Amino acid sequence: MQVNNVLLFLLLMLSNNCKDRYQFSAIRTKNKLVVNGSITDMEGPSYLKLGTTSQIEKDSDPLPGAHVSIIDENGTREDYVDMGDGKYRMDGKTVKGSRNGTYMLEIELPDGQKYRSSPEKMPSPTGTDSAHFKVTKDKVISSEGYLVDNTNIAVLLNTRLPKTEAPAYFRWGIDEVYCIIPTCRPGSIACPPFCYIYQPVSKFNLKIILSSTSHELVFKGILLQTRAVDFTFLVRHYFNITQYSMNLKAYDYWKKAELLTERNGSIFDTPPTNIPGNIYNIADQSEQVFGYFEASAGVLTRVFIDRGYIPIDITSCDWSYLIPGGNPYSYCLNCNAIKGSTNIPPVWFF
Amino acid sequence: MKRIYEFQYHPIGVIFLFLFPLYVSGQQPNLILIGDSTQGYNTIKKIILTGTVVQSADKKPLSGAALFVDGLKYGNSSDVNGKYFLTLLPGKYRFSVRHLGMTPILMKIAIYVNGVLNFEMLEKSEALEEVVIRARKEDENIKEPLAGVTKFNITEIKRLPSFMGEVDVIKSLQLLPGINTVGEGSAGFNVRGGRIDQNLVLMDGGQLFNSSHALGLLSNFNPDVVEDFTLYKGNVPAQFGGRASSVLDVRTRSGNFEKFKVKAGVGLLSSRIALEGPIIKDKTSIIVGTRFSYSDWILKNVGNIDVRQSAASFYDINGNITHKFSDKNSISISYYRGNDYFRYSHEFGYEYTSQLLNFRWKSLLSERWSSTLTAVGGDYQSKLYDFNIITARSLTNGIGYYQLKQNFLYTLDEKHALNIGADANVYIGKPEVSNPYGAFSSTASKRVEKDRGREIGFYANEEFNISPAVSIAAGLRYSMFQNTGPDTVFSYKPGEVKSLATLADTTHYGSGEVIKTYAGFEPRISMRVSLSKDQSIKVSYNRMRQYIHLISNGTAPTPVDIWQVSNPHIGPQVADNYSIGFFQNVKENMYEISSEVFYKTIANLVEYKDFAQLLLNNHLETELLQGKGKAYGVELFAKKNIGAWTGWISYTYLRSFIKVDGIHPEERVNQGNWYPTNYDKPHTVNITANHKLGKNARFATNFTYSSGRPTSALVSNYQAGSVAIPVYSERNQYRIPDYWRLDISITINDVFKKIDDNLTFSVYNLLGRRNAYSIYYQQPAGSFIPQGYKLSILGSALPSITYNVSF
Repeated sequence: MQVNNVLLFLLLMLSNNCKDRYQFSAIRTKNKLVVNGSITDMEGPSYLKLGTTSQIEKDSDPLPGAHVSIIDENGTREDYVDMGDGKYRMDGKTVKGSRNGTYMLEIELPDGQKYRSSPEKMPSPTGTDSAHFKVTKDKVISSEGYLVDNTNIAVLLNTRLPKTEAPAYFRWGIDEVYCIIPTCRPGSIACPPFCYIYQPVSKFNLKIILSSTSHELVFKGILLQTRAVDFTFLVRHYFNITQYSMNLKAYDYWKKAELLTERNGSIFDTPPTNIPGNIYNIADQSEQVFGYFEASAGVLTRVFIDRGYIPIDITSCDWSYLIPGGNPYSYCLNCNAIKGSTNIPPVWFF
Repeated sequence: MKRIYEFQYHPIGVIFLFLFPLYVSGQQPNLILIGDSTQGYNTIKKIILTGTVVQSADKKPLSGAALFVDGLKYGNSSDVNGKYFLTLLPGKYRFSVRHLGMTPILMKIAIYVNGVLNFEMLEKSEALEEVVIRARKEDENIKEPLAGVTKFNITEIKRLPSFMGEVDVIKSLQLLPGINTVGEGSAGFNVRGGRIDQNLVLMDGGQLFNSSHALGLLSNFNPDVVEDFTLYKGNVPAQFGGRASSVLDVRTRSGNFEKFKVKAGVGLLSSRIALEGPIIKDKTSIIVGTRFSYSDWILKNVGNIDVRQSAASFYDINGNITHKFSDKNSISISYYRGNDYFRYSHEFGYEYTSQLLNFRWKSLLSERWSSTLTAVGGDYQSKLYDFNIITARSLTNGIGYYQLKQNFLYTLDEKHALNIGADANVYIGKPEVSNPYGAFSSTASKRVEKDRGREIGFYANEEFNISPAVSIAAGLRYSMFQNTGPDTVFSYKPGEVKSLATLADTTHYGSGEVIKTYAGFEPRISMRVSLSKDQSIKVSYNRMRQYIHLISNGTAPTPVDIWQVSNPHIGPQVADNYSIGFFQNVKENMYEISSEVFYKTIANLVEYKDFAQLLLNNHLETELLQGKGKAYGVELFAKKNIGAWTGWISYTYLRSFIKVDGIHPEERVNQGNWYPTNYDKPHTVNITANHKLGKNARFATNFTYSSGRPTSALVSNYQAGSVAIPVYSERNQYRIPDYWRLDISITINDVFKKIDDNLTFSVYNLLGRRNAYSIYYQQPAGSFIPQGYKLSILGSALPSITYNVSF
């Protein structure tokens, strides 16, 4: 139940509430293993991320050099490829994700410590999705302190979830892919190639829904994401929406993640605590390991927005738009520097 | 001119004397003669002087009036029925009767036989030459045998700075040592390191299960109908039971028996009015008081659309009818209803309602025996709304209770006061009911039955003045609780963690069938030893058993938390409280100084598993843990009672810990080690001052400081898909920033001539301190790294203005 913001409400009731940035001093934490990844029945490789907890307001430190394998219910094993920076890829040559299959991870760290995940069974029911977008406007306070109009793109989901014999659990993830046509200086021999940038959507609110055992469920217009319009909408902007059908354990993990990430300091907040994952140290099961390895059935839906749908001006990277003598936008000059950038267009992009 | 009254000695009984009125403020004291002065008298045999102190205007008994014999430096105070008792040798005495807000009575008496002397005290106008803060006999803090007892008259708290123009019972208590709160905006209060559900909050003897309006910004005691209140935080007399930490006993007024009166106050956010008067003059009186808020006009003017679509309101109503059959018998019926409603846009809302119906029959059975019979029906219900279209639902829970209590007070002489009696309580947990809300809700109806039980207590409590230097208050209470049907009880595999996976059996119990019984003795003892007339030491020990628990797993208690009686899986909380204190008065009681040390242990303190799901859970025991608690601390207090400036300074060092060390890892918190409770605040300082400005105005201020409460801090995080998952420290290993606040108020009396009125300007949080309510983390847009935020309830100074009038 949405009972957040209650304290904010009281503040507004008194017309003078406030929220300030705050950081505890002298926070100390011991490095602990973080494992995050999944196998699905969708096309393409599966990815895994290994890291260690580091410090407040910083993502976990990447942990490369580990030996990671996935094992299915038949004992078939496939090793992950170490891509560096704590990322590992499994191409699915011998172990392919399939519904009702059961999968388990084995990890050996560079220091010899061995870890294993609990066996995860991939559920079978999936729903039918469609998505659309809507341009919205609101007012925000600019960095200069002025109230200014803000244009957003709201991504909305329609979904139809089948009646299931036992409760089934669904969540949605979203990432975006956009294109930058970099600045081509007049007189250049060759213009730089287009960039295609893959990014997870930040500040994503988890959407988790249970199926019904008595009837089909139909939801229309679920707001998945609201994103401010910026330079990423210069050409074409895709939102890739993935429906994950989870098992009960994964649902429990994500439900807890939802509770923790929706905290806003009010009296109704879930007390802060840690989410137990499904990875354990084989030699010492009392060791705290974070993260979850998930086996879920997936359904992908795409929606894109062309520049023509955006009702406001966005400064192009075209040379003629750049201010003479001014600082050209860095993303226009070197779009390959953007994290997640590639010059190879996805086959579905145009 | 002296007025002399002579009364003939009557050998069989006593002589009743009524003096209307008996006050000689600033005049030569009268001489009252009791007995025959022309006959010889026995100077060895002690005689008894007794009587009742009432308020002249409405004939209501005055408790806590100080009766003092000057020559002997000896005295006593009137009890809750206004009755007093003195033992004297025959002779002549200078005699005074004092009570806060009343004109003192000064007289000489010549007494030769047992006699009854009743007093009617006149209300004193506000135009005092000096401000006196005292609700009790001036040296009662020294002579009172009970340790850790605080009594307040409502007149006293009206001199403290107000919040939103309202003086408040619980906010005034929080200025005293040993009492604090989790933070602004949280319901209830914590006493000496105890939880809020460990406080028995009584209104005219009836339990209140929620004592807050607007999430604790105000309490639900209307100052216009409250007579006085007493907080027992150290030694709790055996008459009270059912809670582990403290008792707040609030008494409301009966109406005026002589004439109709109106009190009203108009503020920016709320107003109040109280009407009182005789139905039958000198026999039957009525009082009705109400408060109601109208804060929506502020919401409508807030720019945020969500807030404009929100609503917030509260009201309460108190009513009392008292009838005096005779001087020996009276009955009163009182009713209370308080309601809060709160809606945030189209997202969520809540509503909660408390009700109490109280019948009381007071009877003077003989000169030494009096009886009080109380019958109470109480009800608390809360409702949480989810207005989101798909998940829209309403969730109701609550508790009802009935109480019957018979107390006998036996007063042998001024040395002995014995209370004996019994009480019986029936608790009926109301079912949790979830219903879909609106036409588009996809939620299903759900109902979870809650437990019920009955509690019976027998007690005897004696206050015995062994000598002028030593007095003892000793009591014994035996309480028994039975968890009763109808109910379905689950049992789990022995030695395993309680969960649905370990469910072993289900047993059904019929209506009234006993499921589980808990019982035990609760000894209470307190002793006072006077080192001199101005110094005393008090020690106390008491054991208290608590069979009802507030199940609350949020940052702070909320109005929608669940009251849960003990059952086979949830044992009673048993607290042992120890305290020792040193008390000293200086300069003829102008100054009071005290220091108290306390230590408390609590068994079966309820704690929660991580991510406990408490709502609509018919296997609640699978989410709960029980551990042991301990709290200890030091309270220092210095108070100035008389003079142009009055007020107090208090300091409390307080620690409160809990240990949950079950057999299985899932049944441990922080590896089974002691850790701070979320109301553990080591240092608290309160400074309160009051100053009279000219003839008609008064200035008041208070400053409060306390350590930040414990919290679990974000120590790292990791990214899972698009979500940054936080990694937290162990439970309550860090603290939010310290709290401090300065409030002021100025009250101007007699704004309009010939009307008894005043205007109060107050500023809460004068310096605009942004005190932290909580620290939380959110993933900002455009980043996968959660950032910490400090949430403050009040971000600036909060001024208010209230006009009060009575006629």
